[in-house]
Amino acid sequence: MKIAVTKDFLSGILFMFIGLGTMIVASNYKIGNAMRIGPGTFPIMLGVAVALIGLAITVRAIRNPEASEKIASWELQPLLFIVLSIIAFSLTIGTLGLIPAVVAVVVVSHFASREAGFLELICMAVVLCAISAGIFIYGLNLPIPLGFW
Amino acid sequence: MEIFDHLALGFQVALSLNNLLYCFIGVALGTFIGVLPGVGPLVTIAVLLPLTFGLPPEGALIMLAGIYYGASYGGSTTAILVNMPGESSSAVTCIDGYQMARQGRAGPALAIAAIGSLVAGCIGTVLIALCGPPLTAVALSFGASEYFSLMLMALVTAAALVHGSLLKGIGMALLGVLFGLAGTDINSGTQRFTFGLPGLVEGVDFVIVAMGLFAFAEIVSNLGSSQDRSILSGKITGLMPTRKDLLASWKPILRGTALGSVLGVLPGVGQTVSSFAAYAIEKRLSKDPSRFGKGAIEGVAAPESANNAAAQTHFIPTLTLGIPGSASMALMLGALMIQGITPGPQVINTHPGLFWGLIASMWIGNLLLVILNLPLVGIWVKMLRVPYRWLYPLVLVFSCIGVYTVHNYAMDVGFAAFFGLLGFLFRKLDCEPAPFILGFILGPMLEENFRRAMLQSRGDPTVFVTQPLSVAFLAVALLWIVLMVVPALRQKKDQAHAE
Repeated sequence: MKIAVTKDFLSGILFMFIGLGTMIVASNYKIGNAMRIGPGTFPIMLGVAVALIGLAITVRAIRNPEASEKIASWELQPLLFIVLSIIAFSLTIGTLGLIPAVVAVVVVSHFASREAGFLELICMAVVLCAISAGIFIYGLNLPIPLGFW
Repeated sequence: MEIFDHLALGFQVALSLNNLLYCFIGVALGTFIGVLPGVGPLVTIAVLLPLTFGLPPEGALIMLAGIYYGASYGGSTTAILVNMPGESSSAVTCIDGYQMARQGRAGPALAIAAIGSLVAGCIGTVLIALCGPPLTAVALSFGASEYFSLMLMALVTAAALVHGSLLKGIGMALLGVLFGLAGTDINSGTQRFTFGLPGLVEGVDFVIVAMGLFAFAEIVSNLGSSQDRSILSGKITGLMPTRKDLLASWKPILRGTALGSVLGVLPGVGQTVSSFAAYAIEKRLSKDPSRFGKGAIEGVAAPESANNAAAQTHFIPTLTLGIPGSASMALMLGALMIQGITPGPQVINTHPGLFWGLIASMWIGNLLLVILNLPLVGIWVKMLRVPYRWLYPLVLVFSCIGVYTVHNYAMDVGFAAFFGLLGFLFRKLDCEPAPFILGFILGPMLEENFRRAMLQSRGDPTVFVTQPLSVAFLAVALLWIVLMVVPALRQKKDQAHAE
């Protein structure tokens, strides 16, 4: 039997995966008793429920695959570069300061669409640096360093 | 009269020069960002949230209420002008609003949406003043078991009413609860799901989750899908609604307001249901239902009023019980917590100035919205033409700074990136994030009340079905599940979402 990898099928798998993962991690926490419920009980209950729901969704998706559609495309390029740009921000903001972080976001996220030209990219970086420094550092006095210099 | 005292106090707070200014800035910025293409109300609120961090609690909340209004109105504007609903609650506005716009009547459609919202806002404000205190008294009498059942009911309701299958909706709500549990357990001090990361000891902040799940995931899917935005090319003529429009709309506005006010109080029901129900009622009452879908002004007036009335009365469960009904209301609640105010029945008594000030400023925000928007429609239309490649870096930068400034902790931005990834996956798999976010907010309270109820009943789980109110809440939750399993009703919901 060939299984159709539909959206519902994948969601079922995802729910089962998270549910089982939760049960495994939460089994390290104390269960307690019915009166004094420990920190492990509620997560395990949830984990079981999520895993069962995942199982039900998966079984249903296998039985009637036409109820859900397949994923047309994954759009990996925008996903990769948007996530990378956010990570770049998180790595630079604390150590290098606001201006380098903003430039990093603008430059890395540019590769997510590649629509803007070089000049546009520079303009955007300059404008966004000015706006964010103006609002957050000079306007709202938030304790963010402007740069590492 | 106590009500007048309350409202007087509220207006006194909201009308102070500073707060009026915050409200104005909030409305203006909220609309400005909200009408940008591809930037929904949730993202607007999330992006503008850090602007309020430096303000005193009253000012911050008043500005947020302004942002909320501006953002929702921006969502309605894009719904009418480009057939793109920002939030599911304005999806129904698209049907007739966009048709009106295509007939060159975008001006009246936008004006009626704003006027309907204002009328709904006025009535909603009075309703809160009337019902807030007695409902708070009821809420104060709730024990742990009632709270648990009520929250469960809210979660099931939200899961049942969301687009897609019930099973997925409930699964998403439970996942949200799970993620909400990460951090240090308050009862035992055990660190749960922290994976040794110091940033997770306190749990993940709500803003981080919302930013990742909504802002970042939205950018990725906007960039991925090649957008063909059918932006209106025709000139907008005649901004003000005609006498005929007003005559046709005043009854739908009042009916929508009544419906929205009632539905808004129910936790978990939300604005989407209100606006869909209001539309359906107008269609049924109309002498000529065939006009609907072809630019009937009633089809804009009723859902927009219902939506706003529900938003207004929604503040009752949000503020008194801490149970938000929609994702954007959840964000407002998150902002409240960042200001150091724990939502609950005590807020109305411990922070009366804040509570009534917020209610009054919602009304003022609404009024400012009408004044600000009617002359500016032309500018909003121009803004819709801004290319997305200029916008997404702006949203990204503001979101990143926003996440960072919550705790000045760089790792938080990394967590937000993780939730962006998760949000993208959810979108791809047709899993709605709204029940997830509600579950995330309610998660810790759900567990806390469950454990407390079990402790008070000395380990007897029947406590949830022996307390009358608790049983009633659980019965409603069960009713939703049964209703959604009945095929005829489920089809009706799918139909409503498809429209």
